[in-house]
Amino acid sequence: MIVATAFLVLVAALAMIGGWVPPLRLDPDRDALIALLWIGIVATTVGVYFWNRGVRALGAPMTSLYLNLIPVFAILLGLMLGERPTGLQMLGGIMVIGAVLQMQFRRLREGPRA
Amino acid sequence: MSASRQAALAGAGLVLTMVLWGSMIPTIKIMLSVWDAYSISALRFVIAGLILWGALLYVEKGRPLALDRRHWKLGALIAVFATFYTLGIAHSDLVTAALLSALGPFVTTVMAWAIYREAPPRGIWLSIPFAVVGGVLAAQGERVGGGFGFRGGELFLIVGQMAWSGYSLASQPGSKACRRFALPRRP
Repeated sequence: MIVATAFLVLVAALAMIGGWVPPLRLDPDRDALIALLWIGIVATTVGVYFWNRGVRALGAPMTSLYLNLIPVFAILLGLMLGERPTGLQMLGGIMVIGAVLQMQFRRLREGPRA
Repeated sequence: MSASRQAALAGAGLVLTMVLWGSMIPTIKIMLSVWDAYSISALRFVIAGLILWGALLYVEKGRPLALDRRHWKLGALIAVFATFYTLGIAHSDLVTAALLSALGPFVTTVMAWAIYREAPPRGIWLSIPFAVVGGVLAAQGERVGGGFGFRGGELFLIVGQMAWSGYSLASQPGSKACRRFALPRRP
């Protein structure tokens, strides 16, 4: 993460120096600041930690199946906010959850990773 | 801790992660009204990097951290993913982006086999088509009418996806990929 951060800061700095993006704004509004703290502290820090734990316990191919749960949770979030998913979205969500569960149950039966 | 309990906990952690990463889409939309995509990538990794670095120093009890070649490779792969994925989203049609994003499990499994000769986990060839098709269908909410075509950003998405898969494979402890990175360098 430290190395990745250094690379990303370098890329952003080069983009600013090259004039591809405007200079970094240091006066964000309250919503943007809260969003930054959420995404930095919670989503990225906690997410990367659990992703690495998942890769260690389950292996990369199986862990990557979980990525397709992201749109499924977006649908569930939309449901809580009063949006109605389409039939195809529901079907897609069931398919992803089924695929993940199939591998997870198989993993639980087979035991530890070699 | 038993292996099954360890696997169950890992699965639960990943489910939580996907909830958190799902929340990033509306969050990034708010941030894009203030900052550009490059700055957002850098800012969030600065925060996360500092926290994880502090945690690492605590766990290592203040011992100095030795960055070897493998760490640089892993860091570069994350940076390539974060940069190219953001660029890909910005410069591709929404339906195409959803389709390519859903191919992650397939890309990782094929890379593990093609580069590191790792046998795919049993049953994954049954799960991948369901996960990919399901992921595409589930991502169709706001994307209806978003278009399906080629605008150039798709190549960034593919490179970004491969970088993330490469990072995940190379960070597996005990895997052939990890052992390959761990080979001693020639004097």
